[in-house]
Amino acid sequence: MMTHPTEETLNDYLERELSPADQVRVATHLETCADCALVVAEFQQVVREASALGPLTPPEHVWTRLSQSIVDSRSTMDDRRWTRFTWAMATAALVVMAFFTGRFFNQREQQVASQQQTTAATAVRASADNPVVRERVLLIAVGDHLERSQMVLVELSHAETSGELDISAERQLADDLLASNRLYRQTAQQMGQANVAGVLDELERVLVELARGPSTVSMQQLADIQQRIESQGILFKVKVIGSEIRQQPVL
Amino acid sequence: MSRPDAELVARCRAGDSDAFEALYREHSPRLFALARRMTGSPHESEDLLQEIFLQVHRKLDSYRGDSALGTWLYRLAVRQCLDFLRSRQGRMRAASSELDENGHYMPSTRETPGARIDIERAVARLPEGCRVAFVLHDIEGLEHRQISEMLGVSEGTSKSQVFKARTKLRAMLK
Repeated sequence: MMTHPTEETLNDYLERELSPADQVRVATHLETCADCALVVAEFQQVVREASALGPLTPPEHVWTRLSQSIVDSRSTMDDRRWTRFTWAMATAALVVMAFFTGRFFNQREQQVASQQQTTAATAVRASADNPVVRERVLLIAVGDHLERSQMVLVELSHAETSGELDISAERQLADDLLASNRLYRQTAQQMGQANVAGVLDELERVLVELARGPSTVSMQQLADIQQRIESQGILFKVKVIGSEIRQQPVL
Repeated sequence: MSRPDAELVARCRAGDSDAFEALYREHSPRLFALARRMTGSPHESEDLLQEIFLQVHRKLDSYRGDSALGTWLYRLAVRQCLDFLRSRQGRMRAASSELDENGHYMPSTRETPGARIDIERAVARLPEGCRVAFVLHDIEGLEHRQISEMLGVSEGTSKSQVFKARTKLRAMLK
């Protein structure tokens, strides 16, 4: 008669994980050993009882809390989206207005150079028609825009998942940033800020891809996004331009 | 995707709260049982179930119908359960449960000494590591290969955790 198999071997026997020869050996042993047969029977009972466990009805208050949370999250989401969108558009509009106001005053100055200016108009013109001031206004707004874009890119670059990942928040933010990015890029081009316009152009392609992409990505899709961000060096460029802008002296 | 599933999902996506409640009523018992057994805690499993269905509500747009709705929900719920257990909060709560520092079962004072406890309560008293593997394998019927992928461990570890759980349960159910 063989020595008693370990409990682990008996468990493996139950799972049919042993080699065919060992399966036969243990089965033969169990025919004559009541102790080991009892161990196997008890393991079988555990497995049988576990596999018979069924669904459990959750308490009613779980649904009550859940439905309230959904109502709350809907209104919060709507508020956030609206606030983000209006803030981004208002900032972009102000920058563009500042830029075109400056251009308007420049043209007007050429036409009516001989006319006397009032003190108030001079004050307005002093800032608005000054290309340095206009450039500075644009750069401050773009610096902030780049900082928020950088947050999205960093978030995605550092994200990890072994299954699916919800990137709906980043997708929504990319969509919000896209509209202002276009305005900033066009304004930077018109002001001759080629470096800034170039980075905004590259950033725009990434934002378009994110905004038009799925709200949930697989591990592979996330790796593809991270690869694109890395291969284009967009995060580095955004950081460099953003840093240069922030280091410029305030007028 | 079956027609009733497709219709239900379409109504949910359109913001029909009755449809979402119907989805919850149909699928919550299975997912609640999963959460209850994975966490071993009635209180945490209620919070977890709520979080699972909030995720379902947020992510329903990404459901493409490649698998049955129940399968999609189940996968999402398993991931959510594992995330919960990995979180610091989950670990802290587990540390204060009725297990000693080695993960051994410590009888509750509410239990009569020597009384046989049922399998549901016994599973709840397993150490977290082997409880998760046991729930996924012996209750939910997943293969060791699937469990090893989900937990990020080897198949051998999954098998040894299930064995460990069975051994402890065998002793508790005697």
